[in-house]
Amino acid sequence: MKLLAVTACPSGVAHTYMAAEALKEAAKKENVEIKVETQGSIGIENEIKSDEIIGASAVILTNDIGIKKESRFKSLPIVRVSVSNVVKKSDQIIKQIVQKLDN
Amino acid sequence: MQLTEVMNENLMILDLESENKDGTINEMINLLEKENLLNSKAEYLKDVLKREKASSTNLVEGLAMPHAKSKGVKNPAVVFARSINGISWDHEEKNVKVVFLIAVPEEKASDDHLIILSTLAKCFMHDNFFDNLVEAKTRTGIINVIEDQLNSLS
Repeated sequence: MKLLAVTACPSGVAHTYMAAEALKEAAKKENVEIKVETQGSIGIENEIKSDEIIGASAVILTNDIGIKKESRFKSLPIVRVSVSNVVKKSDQIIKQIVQKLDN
Repeated sequence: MQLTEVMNENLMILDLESENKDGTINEMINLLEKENLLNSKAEYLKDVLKREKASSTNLVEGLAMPHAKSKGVKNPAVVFARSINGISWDHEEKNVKVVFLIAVPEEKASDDHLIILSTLAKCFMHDNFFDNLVEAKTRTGIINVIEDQLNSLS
């Protein structure tokens, strides 16, 4: 199973990156592969390419501000979560997605 | 860019006098002003409080990270503060012990400082980082904890 995620927040200074790190740590615990793109004040980093979307099971998008190029994910199940919930509850979020996809 | 370009031993409070959010932010901003890193203390404070009002920056247990990109900021900087007994942030409960205040100028020629700040933000998601900051005995010790964590990420 491979997950994708894009994180972004209004100021783009801190929570974008905290959320990205939280998802990576949570995925590690669940033994799931994840690629996280950040759309912060530095711009887009670790950008998700179209061939990576084809092999993925779902994408997590933060919903505090608009995600750039969101339409590229239209073929995937999308999970929308606030950036603060990602920071606070990344373990739960990843666990739930994995359970859902396993069924 | 090195951590020491945005953080140094003068920008630290090892044991806060304040016991609440507003007092803490004030104590920390005073250090930025003393080190001549602000254009306008009032403007930066306003932007930090506005950001904090939009949504709390106390997302990780024990840790808060007030921040703002503001015209009131002259040079990018990070202030570290710690409270032995804890301060109250959003609730009466005195549960916050470590605070990082991040100051980002509105316009800056290079993104270097944003890269170091974004990496610092990632550090907060690692459990032992908080414990090590609480246990550090000296200012140099705190810088070492942060540098070690930054190095382990990159």
